[in-house]
Amino acid sequence: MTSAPTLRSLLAVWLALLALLALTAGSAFLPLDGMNGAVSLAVAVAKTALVLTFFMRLRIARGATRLAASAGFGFLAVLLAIAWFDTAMRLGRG
Amino acid sequence: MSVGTAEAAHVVPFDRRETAHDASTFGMWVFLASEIMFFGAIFTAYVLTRLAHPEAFAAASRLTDFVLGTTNTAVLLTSSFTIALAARATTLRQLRLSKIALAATIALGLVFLAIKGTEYAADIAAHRLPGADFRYEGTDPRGVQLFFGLYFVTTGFHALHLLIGIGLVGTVIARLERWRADVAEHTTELVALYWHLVDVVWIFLYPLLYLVSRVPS
Repeated sequence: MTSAPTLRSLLAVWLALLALLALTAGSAFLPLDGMNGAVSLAVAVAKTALVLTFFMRLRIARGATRLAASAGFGFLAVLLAIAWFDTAMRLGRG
Repeated sequence: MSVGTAEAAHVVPFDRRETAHDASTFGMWVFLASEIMFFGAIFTAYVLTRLAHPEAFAAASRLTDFVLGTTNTAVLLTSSFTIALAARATTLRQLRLSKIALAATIALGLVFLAIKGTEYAADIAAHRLPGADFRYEGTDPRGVQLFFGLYFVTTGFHALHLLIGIGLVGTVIARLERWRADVAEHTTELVALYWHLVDVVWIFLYPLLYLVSRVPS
């Protein structure tokens, strides 16, 4: 039997996720001088980190499992970085 | 903890249950990594299209339903909470609580799909479905059409994944009591991992589709 997360930790993560949602939804309406996109993506990354670490229990997972998880996100990051950079340069927005 | 001969058949080729559990979790994550790449490819298409049509994406995003989209995000985040509760309850052998939490997860999933369906109906009625019936009076209608193409494809595949998740959770509810304790525990955890990933996909879809340009001018 693996260790179970505490009820308190699950509740805390859920409330934190809802708070982050309120933050991203609210900040979308604030004039942040072009930074709205960056803010909402940063919040999405934060929510994902919470879900990955606590709900998906990557915190207590073995190295091999964490490697598999990182591989997914890592390769996506490579795909996005190269495609984005390439396209932005071609469109003159780089 | 090693297993006796009678139980060994259940964990072959592993010699210990923990190793079998770790291997299943690892395998599940390899599958989830492939799901990340699947959605990731469509996200990449979104990024490249948005780079080419920034104003159209901003205008199109304003046509999405902020209230329904935000509500749906809250619904899915809560469903991740309920399935995490279920996984915890199964580990602690509180099977009745687990089934209640799993049922709540399905209910929230169905609420999400119902809200999404409502949005789709409104989108189609407003001629936002790409195709012969698409209509947009404004600049760069092609860019707006591309946005909605990506909107329907991403949310459509997401909804399909959610439906599969609902099926998986339903199967767990049906079989939970019949499984041996360790099988119940790790099957619930693996199904929960899938569900959380579907939630993570939506966590990124939400700002990309609904929040591109909401600052009142």
